[in-house]
Amino acid sequence: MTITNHLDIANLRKTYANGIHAIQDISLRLTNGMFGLLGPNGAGKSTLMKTIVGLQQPDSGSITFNGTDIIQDPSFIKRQLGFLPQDFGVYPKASALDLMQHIADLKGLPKTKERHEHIAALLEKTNLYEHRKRDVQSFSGGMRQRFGIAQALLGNPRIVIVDEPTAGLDPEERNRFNNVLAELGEDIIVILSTHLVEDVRNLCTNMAIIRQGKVLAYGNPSRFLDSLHGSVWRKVIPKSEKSHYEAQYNVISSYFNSGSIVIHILSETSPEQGFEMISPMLEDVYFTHLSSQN
Amino acid sequence: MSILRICPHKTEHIILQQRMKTFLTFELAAYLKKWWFYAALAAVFMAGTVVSPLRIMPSPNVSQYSPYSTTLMLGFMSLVGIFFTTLIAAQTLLREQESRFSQILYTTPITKRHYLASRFLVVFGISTLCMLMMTAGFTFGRMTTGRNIFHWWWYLQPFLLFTVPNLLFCAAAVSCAAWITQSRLAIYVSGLCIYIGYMVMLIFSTSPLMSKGMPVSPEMIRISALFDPFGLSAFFHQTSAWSVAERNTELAIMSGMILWNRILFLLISCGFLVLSFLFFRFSDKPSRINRFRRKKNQIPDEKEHRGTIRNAPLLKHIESSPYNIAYHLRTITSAAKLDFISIIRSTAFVVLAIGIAFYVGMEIYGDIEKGIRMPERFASTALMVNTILENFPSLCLPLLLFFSNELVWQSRNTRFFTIEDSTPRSKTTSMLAHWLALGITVFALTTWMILLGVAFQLGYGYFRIEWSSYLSLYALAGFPLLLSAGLAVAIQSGIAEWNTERGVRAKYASLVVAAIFIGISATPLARMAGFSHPLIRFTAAYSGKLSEMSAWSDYVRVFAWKMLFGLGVVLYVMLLASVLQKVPALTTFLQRKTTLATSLLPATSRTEKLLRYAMITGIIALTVYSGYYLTQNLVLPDSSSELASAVQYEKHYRSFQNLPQPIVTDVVTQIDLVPESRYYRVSGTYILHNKSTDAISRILIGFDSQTKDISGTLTIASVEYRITAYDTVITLQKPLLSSDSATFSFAFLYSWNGFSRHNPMNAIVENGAFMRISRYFPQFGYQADREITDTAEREAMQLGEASTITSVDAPRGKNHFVNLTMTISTAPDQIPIGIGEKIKEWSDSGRNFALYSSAAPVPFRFGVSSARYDVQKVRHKGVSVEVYYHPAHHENVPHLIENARNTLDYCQAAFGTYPFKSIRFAEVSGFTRGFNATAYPGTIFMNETMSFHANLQGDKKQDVINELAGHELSHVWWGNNQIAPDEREGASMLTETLAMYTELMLLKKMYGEQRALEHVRMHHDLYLSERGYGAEQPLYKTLPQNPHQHYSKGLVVMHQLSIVLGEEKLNQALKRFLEKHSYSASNQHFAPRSTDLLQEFATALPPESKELLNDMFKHITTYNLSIHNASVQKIMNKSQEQYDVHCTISVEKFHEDGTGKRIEKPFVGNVEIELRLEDGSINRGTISVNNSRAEGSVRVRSKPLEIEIDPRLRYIHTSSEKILKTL
Repeated sequence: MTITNHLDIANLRKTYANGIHAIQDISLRLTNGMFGLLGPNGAGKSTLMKTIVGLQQPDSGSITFNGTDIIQDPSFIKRQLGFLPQDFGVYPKASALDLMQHIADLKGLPKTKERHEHIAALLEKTNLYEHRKRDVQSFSGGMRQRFGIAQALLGNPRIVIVDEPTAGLDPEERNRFNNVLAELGEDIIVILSTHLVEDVRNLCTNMAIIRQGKVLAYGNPSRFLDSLHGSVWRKVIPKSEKSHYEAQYNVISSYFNSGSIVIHILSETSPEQGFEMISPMLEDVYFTHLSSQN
Repeated sequence: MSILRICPHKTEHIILQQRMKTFLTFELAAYLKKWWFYAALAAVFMAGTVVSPLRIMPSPNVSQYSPYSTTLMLGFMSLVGIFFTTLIAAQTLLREQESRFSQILYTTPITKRHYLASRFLVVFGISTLCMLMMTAGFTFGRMTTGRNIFHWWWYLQPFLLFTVPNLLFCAAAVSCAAWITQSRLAIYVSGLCIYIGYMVMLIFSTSPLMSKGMPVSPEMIRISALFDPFGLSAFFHQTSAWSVAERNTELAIMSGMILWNRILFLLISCGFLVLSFLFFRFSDKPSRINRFRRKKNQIPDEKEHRGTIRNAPLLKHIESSPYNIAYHLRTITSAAKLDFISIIRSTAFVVLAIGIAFYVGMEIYGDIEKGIRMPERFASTALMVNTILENFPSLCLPLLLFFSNELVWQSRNTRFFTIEDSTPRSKTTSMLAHWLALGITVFALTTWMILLGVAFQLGYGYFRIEWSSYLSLYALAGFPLLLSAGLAVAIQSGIAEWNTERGVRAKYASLVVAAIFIGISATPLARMAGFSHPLIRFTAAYSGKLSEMSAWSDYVRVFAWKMLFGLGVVLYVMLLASVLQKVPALTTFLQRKTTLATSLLPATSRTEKLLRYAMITGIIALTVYSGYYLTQNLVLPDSSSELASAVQYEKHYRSFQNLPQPIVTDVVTQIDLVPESRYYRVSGTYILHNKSTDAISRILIGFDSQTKDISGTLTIASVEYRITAYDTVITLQKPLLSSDSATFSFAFLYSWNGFSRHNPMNAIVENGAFMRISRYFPQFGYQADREITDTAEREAMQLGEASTITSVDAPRGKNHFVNLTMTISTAPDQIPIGIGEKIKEWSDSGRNFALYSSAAPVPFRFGVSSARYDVQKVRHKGVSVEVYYHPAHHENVPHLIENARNTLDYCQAAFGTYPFKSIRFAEVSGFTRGFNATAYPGTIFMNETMSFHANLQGDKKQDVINELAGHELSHVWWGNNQIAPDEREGASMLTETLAMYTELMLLKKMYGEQRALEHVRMHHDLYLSERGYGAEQPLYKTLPQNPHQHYSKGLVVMHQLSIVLGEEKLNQALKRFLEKHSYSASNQHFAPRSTDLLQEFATALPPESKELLNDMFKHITTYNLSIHNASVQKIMNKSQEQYDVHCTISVEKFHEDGTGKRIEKPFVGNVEIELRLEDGSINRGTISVNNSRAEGSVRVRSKPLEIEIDPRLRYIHTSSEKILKTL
């Protein structure tokens, strides 16, 4: 029988001692499936993740997981959690196998043959089985991230949170990692916190866009795309005219392509000659919301 | 303007200099702009003022404000520099790696030279600033004492000569370790290794502070003077022969060994910096060595079939165990396993373990070998255990501090906490896991020490291994270290959580706080700071000694209670830390009060909650009850009430000092020893006589304050006077007339336990008890030795002048001996030993008895012992020679008997008949202190830890049994009941000096003149090295508190006299002295004086040697002898090669005033010259010296190699380097 898991975040606030409002009145409701939390650096994604997993306390608001207030009782979610932090280290002189065993102990998994096989399976799935006796400290960045997801999946987590998991990985490693995430299935909550739009596009059934501690948009990616249908236009322009077009149109994004600038604009009507209408992509949705906040 | 154009007009050199200056300024700002740095400097300054009144080495005549004492104090204070440099280096040198800024900084144009230089300057500069503040505080504290004599230079010079170069060395060493290994632990390890290296050097120096600093060979002294990284051994080397006056007025100078030492360590410091420059790279990977090691660790891929696991699902349902106590135990063990592996796999741990083993091994070696003065000891388990117990815990403490810091902060430092803290485990379990890991480390290190001890035993061929003694180390050293580890972990864990947002600084702050608490609870630091209550040191290792005879004492019981208390305190601190760990950052806590309440005791069931309440209650109860029990039972030394008691005694009873009092003439006593319960009962009767010409109307009777259940009845002419107080004045109804008698019957009990402490002179222990029991018998008349001797205290109490020792020229005193009859009983498996003749022995009611009688009158000085003895007896010319010894200490018994026989033969032939039918040697437990052996009429008691159980086979050059037998047995003639001087100047010359002489003659008889001469040389050097710490008297006026005079100088002088007079004539003089002045020589029983002995010597000497006699005994005379020129000319004489040797020597003679001030006196006399020739022979002659200088020539047949003046030490000279010359 599939259990539907719920994570309800209501009016969450967190301000750091230096005055930075990391989270400003965030409310979200998550259920089973992959949820993408998209936002630029410094948006408050990691703060939100750390608050959910109990690494820090919010100033106000509530978070409940399957009906239990996890601010009052962080251990409730920790018993069912798999967490891959944005930036983590490992103990020196500890092999991958040793650390997996240790985390399994911390998660309360009894020392059984079943556990041993489960650890082996996770290491195999993440292509780390051959390196299981090596010090994790000697792993490359990609291997370390794979170790991170392996330990996050130990046991039977009902909620898995991965914070910027593919930042710094090469395309091959990113692909491999996303394949692992895709296998997680629809029976648990998976929160993917990232600034990479394509990861959300490829993996997530629900998403939110967050910036400066606030949720700018929240919902199904397809609905967002539909809302922009027929409104996104593209043109290649010389570098020197960029400011002219920014003054004249609602430029939502610009990027280089073979030395020239490609701009995407938002317009309900057809703009001047040279623009072509394109099917909106999730990046367009993302940049639209970011620029509307500006 | 392009951002790439920077300072186009400046040269690259200036740019680099500016970058370095900027870099240095930036580095210094990390300290100089922070308020806490100035607070730390102020604290260091205060610490300096706090320690300013301390004196490291109390010496009555060397002022603590003297340049010598000041240099000593500042030199030892510079040891603190190790701590400063290590801490600052750890904070400064690896900042880039820890903050991950290295990849940015290292890619800037800064050069290696500038980078290393600026970082080194920070470490050295800040450390020097800290030590300067401490020295300033110390100086300020001294200034404010109001002393008239204060010189800035006496404080600045040692700072410049010792402190600054020491800091340079420490900074260079730790910096080199840091830059080569890129490891913080390597910094700590290098700091600890400096400390260990220094302590090892001190063992082999002439440091007066080291109990093992018994005289070592001159070569070893020079080596340690050169290689001591802190220069103190060189300081001791330069000042070893200084007089009191020189120590009070002179500073050490940069010459000789001090100069070479400072140059050497400056070069070594530069060497470290050069090494750093060569090996350092701008990389966040460690150096090549480490990388090589890492490559070796990589395991090649395995090729296993993994079909089943390849197809396994990613998510698997595995039922978690309930989150109960079993879960917490599992997380603790899992984390502890990782912690322990990280400790023992670290290079730092391996280095430290080796370093500790090296240091403890050196201490063991020193304890076995004992230098050139003491004999080699057997490598017994007791020796190993005592040495390990004395040294291992203090060395282990820094290791535990550093590793606890690493473990507590490891999760945060490695950023693994983001994963760990997202699991359900509590931080309390993490804290407990660290404690468990450190506990296992302590266990491993203790085992390592045990293996070291066993290895030493096997290496030295002593195969009697007592495993139970080794196992006790786990309890006596290991358990306190476990508590220290727990305390360190708890404090640092609590601080870590409280400062979650100030990661780096809190790490070192937590280390410092933990170090302070550990320093107070585990080391003597608390006592030095004035906190002397024993409960404060609740994690200190056991400080007692293991005796092979009496095992561990009752102090172990007190220690066990202290450990219970310590455990309670540590658990309580952990509880507090646990609370702190649950408290989030302050602002949030104030807003979320309920979080604390619910998270303090989270429990999944009611049973768990009850268990937790029970645990907290138990911890509090354990702490409170054990603390209460200790405070109720411990008898703490109360110096103020002891002082008050002494003042009262003197004020009330000093008037009796010149009043006649009855004299004890007979003692009949029964002494019942109960060694297994540590007490004895005494009952007895005195017969007293009024031996004065006056009537006695008031009598002062005193019982010793350490005794209990006292009672006494004085009966005079059928009138009884009962005594129940410790000091009682009895006013007689009728005066006791001259020659009248009285009786005094008395009883008392003495007991001790670990709480009340024991008196080393009154050590009733389970086996090997020895009591100088006569000291605790009731005394009649005023006892001047109960007075306060400190002048300042006497002045404060308005007591006037203390009783002074009787002058040598004062009218003769009389000896009052007693007829002693002593019945001693003891446990059924022990033999009681008394003095005099043993009349009979028997058993009754489950106890053993022995009756001893003095046969002839003996001094009122007797002792008893009791032990489970083995016995060997031999009859020698009508005298029974008996040895009572611990069964495991049999090795030297035959040799002792042989030497006793030789001594009897020699002394009877030279001095007179031995007055007893037997001579008894009885071994006693090392629990009694303060002597090697002590002689009583008919019995000599010998300490198990000293010469009795020496390994004579190990070092054949030191036959201490020969020395012991000769010295102690000769006291039968020189002391005891024959020559018994009263308490006056020079008394010790008649007992100890003559015993030393006899010892020397017996050594010469057994081993030859050369060996005897080596013995004389050793005592000559001993005398010179010890005379500089107090006022000196001529030998004939020697005082008891200057043993180096009547022992060492006395032996040298008697040796010189025997050269002048000849042994036979000297012995004849001694015999005449004995016949005239022994107790039985006259009915008057006048006590002999040293001048009586000098008279006999003068009679035996030719008239021209009378001045020499005065120089030896009546003046403090020293000489400077030098060879100025020595030349050799080869000549041919009748086709034979011969050599003419010509030399010019000078001799300066000085008379000293006892404080080192000396006046030159003309020298007229002969000086012996010795030539050592190539063919192995020796040519001896004399040169007559008149007016201090002389020349001489001699012709020899073989090529001369060396010339030495005064080879037989006829003169006490301070110029040992100038009397030997290679030709």
